[in-house]
Amino acid sequence: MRSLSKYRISISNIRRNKLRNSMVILSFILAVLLGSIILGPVYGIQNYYVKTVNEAGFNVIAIFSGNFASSSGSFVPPTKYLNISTVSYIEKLENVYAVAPVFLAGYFVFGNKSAYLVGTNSQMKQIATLDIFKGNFVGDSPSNSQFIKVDLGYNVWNYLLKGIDVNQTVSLSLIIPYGYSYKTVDISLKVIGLLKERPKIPSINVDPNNIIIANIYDVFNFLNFTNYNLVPLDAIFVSAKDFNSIDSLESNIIATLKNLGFTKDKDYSIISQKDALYYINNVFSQFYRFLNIIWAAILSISSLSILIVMFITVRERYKEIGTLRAIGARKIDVLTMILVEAFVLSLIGVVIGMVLGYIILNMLKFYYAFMQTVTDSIIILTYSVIVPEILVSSIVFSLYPAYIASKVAPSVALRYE
Amino acid sequence: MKKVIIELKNVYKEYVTNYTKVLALNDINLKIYENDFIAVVGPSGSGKTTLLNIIGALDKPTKGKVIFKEQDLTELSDKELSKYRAENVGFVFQTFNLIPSLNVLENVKLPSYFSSKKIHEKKFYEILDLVGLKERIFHKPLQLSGGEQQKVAIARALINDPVIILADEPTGNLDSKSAESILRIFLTLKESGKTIVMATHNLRLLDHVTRIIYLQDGAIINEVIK
Repeated sequence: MRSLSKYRISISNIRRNKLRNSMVILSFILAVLLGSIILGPVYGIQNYYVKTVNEAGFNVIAIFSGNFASSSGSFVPPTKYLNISTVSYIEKLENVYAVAPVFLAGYFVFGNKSAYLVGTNSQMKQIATLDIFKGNFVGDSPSNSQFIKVDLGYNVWNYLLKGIDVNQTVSLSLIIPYGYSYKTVDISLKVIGLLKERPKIPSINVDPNNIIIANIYDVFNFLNFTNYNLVPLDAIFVSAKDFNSIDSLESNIIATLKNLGFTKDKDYSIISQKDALYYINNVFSQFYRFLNIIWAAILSISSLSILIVMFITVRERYKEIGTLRAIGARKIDVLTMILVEAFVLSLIGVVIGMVLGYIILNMLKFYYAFMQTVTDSIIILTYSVIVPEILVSSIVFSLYPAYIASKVAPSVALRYE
Repeated sequence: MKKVIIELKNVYKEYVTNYTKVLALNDINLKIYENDFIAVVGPSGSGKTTLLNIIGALDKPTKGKVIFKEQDLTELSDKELSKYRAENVGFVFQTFNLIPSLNVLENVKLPSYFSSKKIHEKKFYEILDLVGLKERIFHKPLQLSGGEQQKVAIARALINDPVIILADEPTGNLDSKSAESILRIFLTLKESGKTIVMATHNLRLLDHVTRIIYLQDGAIINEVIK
């Protein structure tokens, strides 16, 4: 412990120049605050998107009719539509785990809220990782009854049809497209299952909690579509067997659709979970390059403050350094004592900055919805990035003044006035 | 026969200031024996401080040898010289040179931080008792008088039980009363067998030393052995 005792001098010196050292500590507090306020929300938003994409389903490849991401920003009608027969071709491909057609039949209005009627098959449960709260999921065969068997999304059974349970029936008005307009038809539904809540999928407007799922053939029959292969699907969701086979399956789907006469980005758009993750990370990596410039500027200010203050400190304490050398301090002792002083100064600032940063980030959650993404784990992640950088830079920038101090000839330092 | 502790052989020290060379020490030959109490006297600029700095290895001679325990200090590395200073030399300066942010006890403990010598906690209090500051251990240097600060500096110099104590005009910044009490401490140290080399203008001290070395222009012009 004796070797550590010499650092008492470093600690006692911090108390000595209170005003000057307070300014240095303040610069470190600001560095942590600005760093966490700038980087924290960005980490939070990226984490939110990555998490929701990962939760969007099981190795999902989504094929949408038409140009889903048109450069004009509007939907461009395709010349050839995805249909039930397309599904049968995709089912035969290698590495396919599940395939589900998606047909948005229309929507129900509940006051100022609405819910979509989605026609699909039983495999949608695995693809979209839908969990049943109660009851069963829709089957693959038409029910041929006067009621259409449905599963209700979390918001539908919990809020819009509050109090409804499985095996109960309900009659609703379904709004469906009719030419260039809409018309309303009455529909009788029998609830066979209630779905658990699940996160919204980014870039897809349909909230999975605001849907009523029915067997696709029941929906076709209800709408009097006799030739199923002529009904245009809105999308086909495909699940790959494993994450690594997503890319190869996506290529095979594109090749199959080409053989079937579909033109990519005109008749259909395709995106996989892997594409979405790549896209998100790519966008954020470019954003980080810009943020790193700002962060470097912030870091430079705190680093320069410690550099200047340590230079002044060394200059002021020349005689003390000479005294320490006279009583046996080695060059390395002087060097480490200056570095410890700088480190402790920056550590004080960093710790205060972390506490204030935590409080401010949590306060901002009351004013900005996107700040909800900044969870405690994101704050810890942010600190784990910025705090080591601040502490290391404070040590690096203190090295030169510390080196100057260690090189002082004791006899010269003792004469210094 | 008395044992030689340190021997200076043909020591020269030259400084270059403003493009002019100053010969601070000129062919110094000096043997310091065990239990010696040497007073180094001479006018300002005669080389007294430089001589103490060379003996204390704070400075290296331009030419010549400084022999300590059969080893030439001029050939040692900076790390070895630090060890030499930490374990063998106790410095007392005219301007006390205490660390203002540390209290009396911490200032006295300072040399122990850099020395491998084991020092019992009791010794810090014994030494502070010896210099009469046991009651003021938690005071900061600025809360003490000049004489008290010099007593702390002496305690600090003694803590590692050094082979030699080098005092550079220890009473130079003190009033006569304080100077008298510091003088008494040095006389006590002499009685206890400590080896002391002191640069001084204080003529009162000369009655009590074992040797007087007269320096002028960096050279020993006279030596009186009593």
